[in-house]
Amino acid sequence: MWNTIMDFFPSWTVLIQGLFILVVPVAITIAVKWLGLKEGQMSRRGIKAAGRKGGGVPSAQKPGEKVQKGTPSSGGNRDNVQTNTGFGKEEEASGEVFTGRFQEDLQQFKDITRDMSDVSVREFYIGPLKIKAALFFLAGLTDKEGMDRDILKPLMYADRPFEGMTIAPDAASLKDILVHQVILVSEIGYTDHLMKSLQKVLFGTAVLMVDGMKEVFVLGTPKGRTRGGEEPVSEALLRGPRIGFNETLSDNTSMLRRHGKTTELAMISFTVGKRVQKELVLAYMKDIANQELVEEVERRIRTIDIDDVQESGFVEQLIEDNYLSPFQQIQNTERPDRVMAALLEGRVAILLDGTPFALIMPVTFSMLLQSPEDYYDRWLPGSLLRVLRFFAAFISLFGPSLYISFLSFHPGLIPTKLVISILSSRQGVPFPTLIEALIMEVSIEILREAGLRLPKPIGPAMGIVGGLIIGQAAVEAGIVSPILVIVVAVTAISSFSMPMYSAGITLRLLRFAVMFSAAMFGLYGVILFFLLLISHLIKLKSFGVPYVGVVVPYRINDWKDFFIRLPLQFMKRRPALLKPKNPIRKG
Amino acid sequence: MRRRRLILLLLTGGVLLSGCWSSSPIEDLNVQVGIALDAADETGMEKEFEQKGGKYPKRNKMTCTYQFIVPEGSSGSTRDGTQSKIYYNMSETGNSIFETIRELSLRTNRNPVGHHLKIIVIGESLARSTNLSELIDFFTRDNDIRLSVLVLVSKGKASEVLSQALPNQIPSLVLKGIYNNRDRSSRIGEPLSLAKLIGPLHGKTSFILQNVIASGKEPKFAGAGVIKGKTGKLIGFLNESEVEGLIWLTGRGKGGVLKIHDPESDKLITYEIKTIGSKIKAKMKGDDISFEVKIESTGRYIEMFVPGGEPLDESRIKEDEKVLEKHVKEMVQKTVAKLQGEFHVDAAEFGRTLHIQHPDVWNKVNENWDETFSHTPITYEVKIDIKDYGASGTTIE
Repeated sequence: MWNTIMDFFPSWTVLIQGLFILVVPVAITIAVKWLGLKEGQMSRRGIKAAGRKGGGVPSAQKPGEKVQKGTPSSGGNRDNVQTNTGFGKEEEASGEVFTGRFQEDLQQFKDITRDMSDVSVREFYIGPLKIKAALFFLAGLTDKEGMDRDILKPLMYADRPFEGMTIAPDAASLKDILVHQVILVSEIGYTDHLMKSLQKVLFGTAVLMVDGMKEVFVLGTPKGRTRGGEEPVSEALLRGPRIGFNETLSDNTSMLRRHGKTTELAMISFTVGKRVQKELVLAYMKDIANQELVEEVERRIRTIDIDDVQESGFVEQLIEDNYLSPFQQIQNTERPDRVMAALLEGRVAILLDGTPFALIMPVTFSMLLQSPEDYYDRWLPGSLLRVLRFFAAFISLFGPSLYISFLSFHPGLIPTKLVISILSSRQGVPFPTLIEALIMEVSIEILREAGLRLPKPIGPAMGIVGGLIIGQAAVEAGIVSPILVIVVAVTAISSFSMPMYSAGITLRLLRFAVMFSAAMFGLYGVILFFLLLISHLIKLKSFGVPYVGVVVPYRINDWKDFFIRLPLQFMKRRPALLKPKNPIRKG
Repeated sequence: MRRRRLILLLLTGGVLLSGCWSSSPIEDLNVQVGIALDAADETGMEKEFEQKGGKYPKRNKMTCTYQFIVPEGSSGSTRDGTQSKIYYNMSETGNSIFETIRELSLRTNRNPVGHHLKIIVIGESLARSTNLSELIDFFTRDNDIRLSVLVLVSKGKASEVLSQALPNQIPSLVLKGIYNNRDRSSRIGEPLSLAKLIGPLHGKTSFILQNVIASGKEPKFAGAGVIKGKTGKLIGFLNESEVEGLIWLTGRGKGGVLKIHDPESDKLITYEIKTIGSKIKAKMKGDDISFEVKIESTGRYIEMFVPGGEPLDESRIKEDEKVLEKHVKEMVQKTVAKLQGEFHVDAAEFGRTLHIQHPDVWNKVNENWDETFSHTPITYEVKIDIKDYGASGTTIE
């Protein structure tokens, strides 16, 4: 009897297999939790989010204050950026201030700029009364021509405003006269704080100090070296606007404005970076974007606590949901039209000074495979290209692993005639398929990396040398089989067809993981990996929006713009996933 | 911390130690494409092996010949025009097919795999002496081998069929490919895969198996072998025109040729078959079973030798249709006469028709159907419709 009962228990090998099936996911979960805990200890996101510690600060207000909703539209907002010189009154209270005694202040200023040779000082007299004044500016960043014409010249020739005066008027009326009658600059701000004024000077503004006045004028005359809006290299289109963001924030915001007239486009300015401060603009459509989403993004911007935000990639990495995921949860783009399209869907964009890359959030999986061209072209070609891209993504991810699993595990699944030719081509190849595929994949990745660094004229030549000659030579030498060369080449081409370069990198990265799991378990391993990937994707969220949101949770309405793009006539609603305030797009 | 390390170690160990689980690289496999089963007849090489002591206890019942693909390019490129054999046959004699395959592993480093097996050819003498279900038992049990493998018989030695092919062709694939010509010739029976073979063998119904013969360099599909359901053994062969008759009877043809010399004027009429259809109706009169066969076909003139260059017209067509109809009727009758008179088996699925149309009657006669069928009267009605004259409207001048 015992024997019959024991027969029902599986043998120890089966039990161990079962154990692994149990242990692997549990171990992964534990590892991820542990990492999350570590991260929490290190950065204390929660505390910063509450505004108690450091973080990005809206320029228009003190830290800790509640963000005012529906910020006044563009013009006023941008003025705010320029005129508000303070970063918080408490800070201003500490530190040195201007005294109003000219020589003293001048000396003070020269002292703190002793080790900055590019800060220039120009002393002069205002008008016929010979009021002493000094202009601080930065050689190279300040628009000198404009400064000479609009500040120096009117100040020095200011006869009429002072007519009939024999002595210099008091500070208040002098300020009044200068602002209202003399200085020909639209952007004027005031500060009495020495360090703040230096900061402004270092950013390219001219600062005017007048004898007897405790405040200095901050005159907006910056002229950074800017670049025209050239067509973005990484996101070239056949059809669509040939303009891309550049490194100047005001240019970029104006590009968005110039897209079309709307009074609903909000741009909220933040200052990020503890040591090197930079301006960051949060853009969204006031009547479309979900309020909670905007608040969440603002909250996360406030948690940014780093000495210098060098590029928008820093912002991306600091505010994304899951930094362990291989998938990007924030999309970067150089195209203003792409940003505008996203804003109109109810998404939110972040622009950072000093980089042409804007960030769009939240991101769903399908966005990585969409190109603006899908919408610019008619719907049939657009849909065709999109289906093609899904297919290319599949190949790019699974190409080599399918090769490995078919050849090493399931020769029965290959058509007989192909088996015959593969058999012939694999004769004399000394390596197992995994090693063979790794050799080719790694070398093509190196080639690609090398191609990026090479000077432009050499790049294509390198591609030919690498792709054709090395591939051919490897086959001739019997290191790899010709079929593999095809597989690798198709895979490489497929990964280039991703409209988002960074999405292509994700797939390249995962491809190697699949290759290993295919080499260990064949198609079974590929399927296991696919399931792992899918379960990760389903769990992943970008700013509260499910990453594969169109599929899970299932929303048939949003499928109109998923694998295929239906005619615009059918797309009457914005993606419901983003819960926009105004769900109707047209009609 | 230590626990975590242990888990990590177990994890990596588990994944890495599993290695390449059940991996079987394709280049280490010997891909079988065809198998020929013959009555025992040891090859010279086998005899030599045995003389030198290569023996194991067995009854010499059959000789299995396995056809493997020889990879090209193992010794340089063969594209220089040399005509090379790209297959290789190995024979082993024994009484268990599986054992003979494993016996091959003593002779070659590459393991035979059956994923790509296409053809099983059974020699006449073996098929006459052994129940087919015994022969195909291994192939239906093995999980590598597909049920789409086609089964044929050969009048003569089956291994010869597998050793004939044009250069750079593999005989097994040629045989499988010939079935694609069913729209060209009405003398090829339906392809019978293992999956379709199991049913009749199990249900003890009779059927025909395509016969293939070889001569010189080429194989030829020539008629069919008749398998008696009761015994599962081969009892005889139908020749090509009898198979043709059977195809017309069952209406399972896809195309082909119907050629006749008009008995009156001795002129040639060649008719290209476009469609064939047939309806069999079982009729009951009391306890007497009879069948009514209605055959319909459409097609066209394709080759006509008539002196005088007369234009073809409706009356000619009517005449020729009559002649063709008569010819088809005779052909079908000849086939059925052979089945009823000589073999006493129903290989044309009349039984199935009866089963469907009169299930109660079938239950009564099903035990001894082959005998009952042999005495069942059958009437025929053939209708041929010549749709067009081909590209030319006249007969030859």
